[in-house]
Amino acid sequence: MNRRQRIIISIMLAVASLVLLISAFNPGFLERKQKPSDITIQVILRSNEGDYWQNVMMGTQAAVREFGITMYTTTPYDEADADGQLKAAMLSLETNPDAIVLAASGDETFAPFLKEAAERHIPVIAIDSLLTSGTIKSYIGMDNYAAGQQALEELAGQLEGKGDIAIVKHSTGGINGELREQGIVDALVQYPGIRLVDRISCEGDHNSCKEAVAEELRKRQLNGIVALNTEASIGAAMQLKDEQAADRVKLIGFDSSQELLEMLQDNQLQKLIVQNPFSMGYLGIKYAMEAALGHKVPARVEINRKLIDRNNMFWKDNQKLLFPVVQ
Amino acid sequence: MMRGRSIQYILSVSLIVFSVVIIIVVSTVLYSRFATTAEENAFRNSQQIVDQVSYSLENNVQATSDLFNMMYHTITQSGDVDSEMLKRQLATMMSTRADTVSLALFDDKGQLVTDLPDVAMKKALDVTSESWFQSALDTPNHLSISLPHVQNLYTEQFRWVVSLSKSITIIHNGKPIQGVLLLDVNFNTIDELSDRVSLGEKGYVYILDESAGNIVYHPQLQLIYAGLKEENVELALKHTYGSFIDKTSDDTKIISVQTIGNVGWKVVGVSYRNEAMTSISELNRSMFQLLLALILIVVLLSSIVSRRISRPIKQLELSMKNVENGNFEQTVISEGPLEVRHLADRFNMMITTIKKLMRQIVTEQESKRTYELEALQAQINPHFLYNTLNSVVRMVGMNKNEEVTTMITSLSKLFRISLGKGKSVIAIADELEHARNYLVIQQMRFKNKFDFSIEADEEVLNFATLKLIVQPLIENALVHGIEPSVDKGRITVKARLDGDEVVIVVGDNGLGMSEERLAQVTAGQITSSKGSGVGVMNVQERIRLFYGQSYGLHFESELEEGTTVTIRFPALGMDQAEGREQEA
Repeated sequence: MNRRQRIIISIMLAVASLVLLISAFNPGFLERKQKPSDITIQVILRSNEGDYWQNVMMGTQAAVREFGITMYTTTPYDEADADGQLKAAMLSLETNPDAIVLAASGDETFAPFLKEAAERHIPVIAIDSLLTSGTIKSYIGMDNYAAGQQALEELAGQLEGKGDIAIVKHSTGGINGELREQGIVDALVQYPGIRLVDRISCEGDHNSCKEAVAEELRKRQLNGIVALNTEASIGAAMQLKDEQAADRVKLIGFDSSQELLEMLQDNQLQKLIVQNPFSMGYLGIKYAMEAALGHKVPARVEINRKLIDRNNMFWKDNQKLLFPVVQ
Repeated sequence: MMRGRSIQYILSVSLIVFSVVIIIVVSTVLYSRFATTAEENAFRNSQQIVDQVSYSLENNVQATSDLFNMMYHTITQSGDVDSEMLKRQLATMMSTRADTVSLALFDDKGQLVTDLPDVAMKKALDVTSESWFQSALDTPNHLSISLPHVQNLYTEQFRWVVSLSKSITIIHNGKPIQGVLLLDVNFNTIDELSDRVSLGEKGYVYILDESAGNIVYHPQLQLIYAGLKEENVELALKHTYGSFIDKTSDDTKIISVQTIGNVGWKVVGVSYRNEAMTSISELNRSMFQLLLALILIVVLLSSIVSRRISRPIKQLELSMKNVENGNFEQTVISEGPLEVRHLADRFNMMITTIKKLMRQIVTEQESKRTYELEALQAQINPHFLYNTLNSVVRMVGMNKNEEVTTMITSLSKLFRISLGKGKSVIAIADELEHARNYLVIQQMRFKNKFDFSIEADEEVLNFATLKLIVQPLIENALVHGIEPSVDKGRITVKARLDGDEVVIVVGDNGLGMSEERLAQVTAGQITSSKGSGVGVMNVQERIRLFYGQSYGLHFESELEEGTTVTIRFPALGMDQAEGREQEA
């Protein structure tokens, strides 16, 4: 070992020890590890109105508090405005979040978004609505197809296997609505006595659904209705209440709201199929964080649905689900 | 860098071991100390917060119970529950607290008697199945406080309330009946109180009903109902007060419990132990880095230090090797520790001494050879031979045959001894014989101008002596002492043993020397031009070179009295002396 090499080695040793010393006295000097608060997660929801979405928000907030991450939320003004939501989503990609939690209003519409996110290596966790037009890291939500089947089974039970029924669907139903509808249609084979006579569409607030149902009831005699989301359920239940037709026409609804629960208690409708949006929001953030940290996340997480009727709506574990906000 | 057990190796290893041990000891002590303190603090913090929440809750519940009791007494003491007066009184009482939602009085069949505020009740109302109604009837005279639930009394209202209920005897429509008084209190206060609490970043507080183990309040109640989260309520139920470690989940939690006596609720604080211990793990990491840094520094330092020590030593070693090879250069070591420099100084001094000694040996050898050469020349001094032969010729002319024979015989003996076998050491007997022969010849030459006597102890005769040391002294005595004197001279030669030394004394009664001259002779400053050529100084030097500086000649002289020269040298046998001659 000549003198030159020795000097170089000495200097290297000195520098290494200096770095170690500085690091010893300044925690974080050498840290490359990502802290939870450095992780930003973009949450894109379909709406921030209604119990359902507020419950989702509460779930995300609970997760944010638990994991100490940073969250940004965007929601479109109009739940049905898939293009507007896409625009907002594309814009949010520019901030390069570590992960995205997306409740999409449309499937095909979001193909370019998913492509762009994949190019930027941003994991996308779909909640509420399944996305098939691109790669997603995980889907967290209800099995809407099975929920549709269950709705029909319940209605068939109410009707004792015989009668004419209609589906009321709302324009914001998106892919969920389609899956639920498909579930209903596929379940019909088991009940030869049940006839699906019409599919009623409405958009906007529940009044338009109410009118649509009113028109339908004027046209033909119905024994049962399956309403595919909150607005449709409210509209249908209100029309049945107005016509005092609840005894004649059985109604199975989806999701819950105060009005619906009030009318459920008043026997205006028979059953509500309810999800656990709080869990959905919580798990969405949780898995988004894990995906951002590079951990493995399950490709599909099913949130249990619950069948609510007037008897079990005040059960202890249902109260928090149906009345999430303490007021 | 670390071959064998070099100084550097020893230094580095011992320093590293030392510092590692020190740091490990220090960090262990610090760690355990800090860890205990941090944990204690976390426990205390958690317990304090839980205590505060419990205290506020207890106060809140107590105040509400007081209000309820006040209303209860107001109702029982009033005559008729339907009176407007009572209603006004109750309304005033209710308005004293903002969190009261409603007051209602039912009879034992569940029929509404009166209520405040007066809003529309649900049409299909059946309170008999409600838990508050049942518990009030089941336990009379006991205030039942329900779990928070959604109020199911009024149309289009689903509010979270806590119900206080108690059975009551009232006078309705003039006759006393059994009924149930219900006060619903907003759950907001409790909810907000518990929600605002923060225990670290992730910690929270939940409230547990101790009778059934139901969770009264939990920030993530829905996750628990959905089975996504679990709360270890068993641990909280077991204890009424205190803080505990819960290791049932992945993250170790600190659970603090405080019981609210009047409702039978428990406030449970959950905080995460690793949050409190973050500083500990950071400390740990710092200590580890410090350790690494120290090891590096120690390696660096010990290499520098040991180089500084070992380099001058190596340099010294190199110079020693040079000396071994006969290169007597002085080393110059300017660096290194004091000890090594001292060593180098000593080494240099040693080299100087060796060099001096070597020079001395060379000079001694040179002079020895010169003197011996001179002595050799003296053995066959032609001048002496010429004079003696002249005397012989003269005596032959005078027909002194007998004397001629004596002289020739003496001469022959003289030469036999002086030539010898080429050795420089002979027995004292031979030396004295040589001296006697010389004296015989000179006596004849000087026509009996002097007498002589040679006396020797028997024991001294066999000891060894250098050749030709007595004869030059006799010659000296003759030339300087007897010859210039007018009186008849006398020369005595005596040999004896003095301890382990041989003493040979050559004395004359000639002119003697002044003190001044004696001093000059002793100092060796006078060299005679006369004589056989081997001077007194030659004798002196040869004795000193052979036997050592402390031996040699000693002069004593007095003017007109004569001179005595004493030769003194160690008594050595012939073998010893010959051995010494070989060495030289």
